[in-house]
Amino acid sequence: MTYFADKHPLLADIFSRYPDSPQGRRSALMPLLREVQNAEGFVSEARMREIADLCGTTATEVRSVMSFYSTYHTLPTGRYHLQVCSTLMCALAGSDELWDHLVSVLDVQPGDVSADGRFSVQKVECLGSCGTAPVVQLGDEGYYENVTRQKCDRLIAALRQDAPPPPDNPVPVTVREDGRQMTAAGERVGASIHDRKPLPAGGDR
Amino acid sequence: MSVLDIAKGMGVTLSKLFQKPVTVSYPEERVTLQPRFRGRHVLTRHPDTGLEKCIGCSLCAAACPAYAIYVEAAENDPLNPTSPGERYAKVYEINMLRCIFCGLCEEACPTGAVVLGNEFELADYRYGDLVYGKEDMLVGVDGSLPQRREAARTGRPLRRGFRVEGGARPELEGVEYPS
Amino acid sequence: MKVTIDGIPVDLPAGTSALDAVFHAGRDVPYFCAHPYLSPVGACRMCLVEAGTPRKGKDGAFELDEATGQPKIFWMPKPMASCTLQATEGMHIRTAKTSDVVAKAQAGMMEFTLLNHPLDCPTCDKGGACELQDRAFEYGYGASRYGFDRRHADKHYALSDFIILDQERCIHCKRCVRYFEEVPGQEVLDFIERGGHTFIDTEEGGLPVGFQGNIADICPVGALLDNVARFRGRNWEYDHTPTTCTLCPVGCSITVDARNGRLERVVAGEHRDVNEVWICDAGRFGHVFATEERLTVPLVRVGGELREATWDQAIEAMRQGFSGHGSNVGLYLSADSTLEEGAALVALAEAVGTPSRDHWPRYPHTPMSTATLTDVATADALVVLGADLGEEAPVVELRILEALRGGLLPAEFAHGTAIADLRLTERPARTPEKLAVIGRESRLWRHAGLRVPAEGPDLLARLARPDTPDLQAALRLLEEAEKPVLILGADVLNGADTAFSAALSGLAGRVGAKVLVIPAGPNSRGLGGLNLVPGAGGLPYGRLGEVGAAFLSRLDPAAQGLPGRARGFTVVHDTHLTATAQGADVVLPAVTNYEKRGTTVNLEGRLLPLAQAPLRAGEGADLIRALVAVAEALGVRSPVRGLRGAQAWLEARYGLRLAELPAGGRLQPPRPPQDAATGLAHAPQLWKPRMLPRPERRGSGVPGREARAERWELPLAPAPQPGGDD
Repeated sequence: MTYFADKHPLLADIFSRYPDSPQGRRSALMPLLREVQNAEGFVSEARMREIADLCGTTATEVRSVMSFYSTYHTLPTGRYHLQVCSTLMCALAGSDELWDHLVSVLDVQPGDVSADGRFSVQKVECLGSCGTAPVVQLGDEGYYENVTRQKCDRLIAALRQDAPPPPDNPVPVTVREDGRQMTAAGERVGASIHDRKPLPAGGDR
Repeated sequence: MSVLDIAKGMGVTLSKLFQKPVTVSYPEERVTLQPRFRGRHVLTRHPDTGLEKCIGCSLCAAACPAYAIYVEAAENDPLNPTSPGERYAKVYEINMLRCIFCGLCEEACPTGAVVLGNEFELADYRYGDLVYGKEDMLVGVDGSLPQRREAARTGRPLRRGFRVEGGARPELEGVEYPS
Repeated sequence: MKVTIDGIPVDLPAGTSALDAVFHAGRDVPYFCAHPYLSPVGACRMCLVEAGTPRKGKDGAFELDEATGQPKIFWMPKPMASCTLQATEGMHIRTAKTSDVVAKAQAGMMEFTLLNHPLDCPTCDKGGACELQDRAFEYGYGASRYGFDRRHADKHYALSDFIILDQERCIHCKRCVRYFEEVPGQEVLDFIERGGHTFIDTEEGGLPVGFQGNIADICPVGALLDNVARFRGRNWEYDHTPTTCTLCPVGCSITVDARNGRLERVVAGEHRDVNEVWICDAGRFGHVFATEERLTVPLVRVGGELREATWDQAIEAMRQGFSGHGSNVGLYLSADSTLEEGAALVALAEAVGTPSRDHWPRYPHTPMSTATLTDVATADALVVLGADLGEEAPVVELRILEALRGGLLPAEFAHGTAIADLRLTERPARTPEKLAVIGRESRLWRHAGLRVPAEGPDLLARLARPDTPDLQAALRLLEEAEKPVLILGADVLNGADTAFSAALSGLAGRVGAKVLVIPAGPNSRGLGGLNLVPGAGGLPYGRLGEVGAAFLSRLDPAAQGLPGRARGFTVVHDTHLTATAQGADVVLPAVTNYEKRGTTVNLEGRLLPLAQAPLRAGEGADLIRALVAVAEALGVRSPVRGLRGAQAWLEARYGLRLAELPAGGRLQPPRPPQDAATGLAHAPQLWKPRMLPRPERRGSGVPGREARAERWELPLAPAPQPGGDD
């Protein structure tokens, strides 16, 4: 059973946001991936192939795009997916030691989920928070910055209680179910397809 | 030339009569070699794993000014490797007739696999027998091909006609020479 | 357009990249990601140069330098990647030779590139022919300051049976990814992950067979390697022989790399008019037959059994065998033989007086081609009729795809083909509507805008008078185009005759199309023009069983399901002990086309030279020399007894001058082939069973070692022996 087999209206909606051309169809890749991941928690190889067929591309291209972004997963994750930045700035600030600590404390390897189903870990490329290295990202929630060993231990203890502390830096803009983008403070930002107005006749460049 | 000159010369001769002779009556006696004497090549192994150091890269053959070396590489069986890594020398041959014992192969070797040993007693009867393969040069194989053939024929232990002061140099890992 | 490079003024056409400007001026710039037939993307950042342009003031005139009175050059603030920088009028460029900034930037970039590159050059098959090695030597610091662990990844990752990937060695130039996207149009490779951990992988379960081998040629490092040639030799040890591939009628330029008498590797050569720099997988990997199980001595049937013999004994056996057959002798040769060999066979047949001579495969009638491969690549409409290009002429497929992405042929400069042609873009827009494919389903279907499933020899007639909307659309495509090309393959040509040719030229004339006819055999276009078909009363190859005695050169009718013998005496001249050879009376050892000098004619009618690679063939002889032996056995003297003689014969009879053929060949429309019924249908097949690589079957190739080891037991790993006798 394919995922999108019974979701024609959704597909039509997603594809309607892009030009009706081969290149346009390929652009629908990201929302389709997001849709599958939101529903299933990860994107399996079968789903990659399905999305590739929908977009008129190959599973290789889909995996390439997916693997570029650390927010898409090819494997099931735990309830708390901890991503440790391992690029230059964080590495210099001690992310390798942090990673070793995290892996040994949680007793989980990348790709696995801890026995209680809570934790999974992943090394990721630069998260763009070099000034506050080392950085740990919790799922899609936000960044924990300047993570020392003590801070890491406190974070893990809180997560074991299922009470994640508020991130130091929440994701600045989130996308709601209806496609509307909101800041953490609740302000609307960006355009939405719901705001679309017909272009003025004649057009002015 | 005066009588005096002759007497002088004879005097030198006489004085040498009572000195210890420099000549070594080889092969009955062993000749003493310096450790850096360049003789027949040895293919060394890693002492801990026993794997061959040679990775079959052919750089020795490229460096050889006499075109004496022929190497043919192959891929290691991952379960039963011959050398560390992916590549090993399936065929490694040195034509000792062509070799000029310059030691450039040793300098070119990136892994220290081919090292010039001290053995020099290589004389043999047929051209083909002077092409030494891996089985003739790997560390642990003592003596040259004719020496080993002689030892096998007579049943007597192999005899090498030299000694090395202070033993084999450190590059010759695992090689022992009489000192 | 005047551009100044390191003070050297050069005149260049507009649109030239700064990289080509530098090379055109005779200067050098290192680069890894640029490639003459791929889009420039600026991925490797090695081709940095300092660039500056004059600027126009408000009055429209160049701002002048007050000191010199010359236009003032405004230098760009940082070094620029020259492969993606377009040279402009009056631009000044400084390379590392004159600019310390550039030299430092390139050395620093090289240090970055080498951060994660493993130091395993001694075991790497690219070593000695590696762009990274050369450029690091020329432009690097010679030392690295990187003190951390290098990236570790899979060093032995087989992307397919033919291509092996070492992920550690990859420097992320993206040439292979762009190659698959842009040239064969298969998006099967891509970057996975991001940053320093990026690696190349496919999700399609392996690379598609067809044109995958080209990525081993274009990889600037040893990340993608030819698995068939794995560890067979170092690059400086090979004997490189540039020659022409004769597996199909395209005649791609290749370089044959042999070592110690064995063919170890085939790499693509550059021929701008034929294959550019791409060859198919069969041409690249299907060479093992040239080394494995070769027949090296003549065999003579004695007492019902083939026994090894000398050539003299074989000639004597042939003398006895041919006697009594008079001129009832059939002479047949494979259609991949050279023109010179064909001449030798015709000359002998005339000397003997036999009309039974033939080459196979061929069609009863082959219309003439009027299109070249460059015409195909620059066509604005293409109709492929009854051809499975993957089996018949794979590189034609690449040239068709080139036409579909715009038909942009890279410019040519003093240094050769433009290295960074700025007109080529990544992920090019394709125009599948330019291509119509009529016939059985094939690999090309995926790229065609119009696909018409059909088969049979009447396809041309149906296209000329279309009876379905699809065929009408195909005809309209031809009619509306300015430079249309019609490509014909085996399915329509098997039933071709002179009426077919007339209908074809009628249609082509009506729509203004050029025609590319794919001949049946690699050189059947050339051989067909030599009167190498059965004369009056002669028997074609398909009726071999009715001939009194026969000589077959590199043909294997038994494997085709034909009777493998003539009625009487049968001589087979072949490189291997084929099924036919096993049933023959005398077997003569032949040489492969990698070991021949001679000339072949490709599907455009281009004369292409073959060169001789040093392969071990024992007593194997090419057809010319084998026919001298046959002539001796037949008691006649043939006028063609060597290569020179064959060329003189060809010049005297047909005015073909082959002696001073340039390396790239010469486009010279061949004589129209003579027609003769074949009695057989030709089913094209690119990969023959003996071409499939079986590396484990290769012996050590050093004779004598095993024999010596047997003489007395060698102590391979004995316990340390007590030294000497003391």
